[in-house]
Amino acid sequence: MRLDLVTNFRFSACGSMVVMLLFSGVLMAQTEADYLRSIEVEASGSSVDSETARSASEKSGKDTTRLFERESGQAQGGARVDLTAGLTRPQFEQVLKNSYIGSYLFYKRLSEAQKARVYQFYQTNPDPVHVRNQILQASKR
Amino acid sequence: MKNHYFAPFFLLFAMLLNTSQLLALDVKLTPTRDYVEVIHQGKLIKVQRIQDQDHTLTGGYAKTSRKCPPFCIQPMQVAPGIQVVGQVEIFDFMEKELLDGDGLLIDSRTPAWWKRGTIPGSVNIPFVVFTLDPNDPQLIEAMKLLGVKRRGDVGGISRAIEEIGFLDGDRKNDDWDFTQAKKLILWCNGMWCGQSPRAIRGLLKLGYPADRLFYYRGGMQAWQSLGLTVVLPDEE
Repeated sequence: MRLDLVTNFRFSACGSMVVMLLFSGVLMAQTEADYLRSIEVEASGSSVDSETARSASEKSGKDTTRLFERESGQAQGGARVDLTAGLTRPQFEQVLKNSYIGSYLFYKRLSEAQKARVYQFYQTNPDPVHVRNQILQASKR
Repeated sequence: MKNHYFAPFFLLFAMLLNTSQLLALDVKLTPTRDYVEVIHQGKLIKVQRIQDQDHTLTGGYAKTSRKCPPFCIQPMQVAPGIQVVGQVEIFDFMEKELLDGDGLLIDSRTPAWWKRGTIPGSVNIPFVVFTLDPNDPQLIEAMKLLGVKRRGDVGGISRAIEEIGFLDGDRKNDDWDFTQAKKLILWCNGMWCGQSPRAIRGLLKLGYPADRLFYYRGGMQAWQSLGLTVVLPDEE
């Protein structure tokens, strides 16, 4: 009789633990679902300030799509080559194009004279960080 | 007679001065920066502030209060080892890591938020992606974008060597290779938003190195309150 009681107690303890675990799992899933539902409802009523908003396809944004797609495709093809000292200008431009696509997009917009100055700078300091800064500064002039 | 010679030069100088003053922005990003340019969906977008100094915020981000939970104020420290960044660090990031593909700015919000406007240069990876199973193709695709490779079967000996710190073992686990992991800045709606903290915790759970993760706590709320440019993404 005593054994039965102990066994029953053990079973009921295990049973309630299983139920509790299942319940907590369901509760967690429900909480996550509730969270997602709340943020979706909040999103439907949200908008940004119209003065700050620009469409990504606005004509004023310079379209680099074709250039970017073509060149980033090339860039993904091989291993990244770092800027090293002693490159000729075509090699320098090729490395920029293949490994520093963002900087290259800005470089492409520079005048011939500005490009020559960037290359000249590279010859004295091939550090990519400094070359990038030089390109950015030139593009803002 | 002398005055006669100087007058045109003076006029020219005054005109040049005036033009440069007209070109300079009154509301700059920082004392030395008028704007930053960033590539968003293949287009160059200029990020600057609203120049109208009488403008006050309109739209959803003018709202001060939302029900908590779920929209509760987030702590600065969302997880151990995660640094918090502000707008100026984001401008630097846009001009450096983002430009050369060494980093990503991640809009961790669900697509419903993303399509209503995002920070230029961001990519949308909703936080839920980082809670998926390591074999889920969506997670594998997202991790690839972050520079993380899914690992195949790794031999027991190789793993044992990695675990003692060789072969970049500190940047690898059974599922992922983080040796080329990009520097990430994750953001969502701001101080009251739990989406990017969840994304960060999800990434940490997957093994992403904490020193490559940054939390922009101000998010869209702070970005909007400074009148900074937002883009409405093209439908993909």
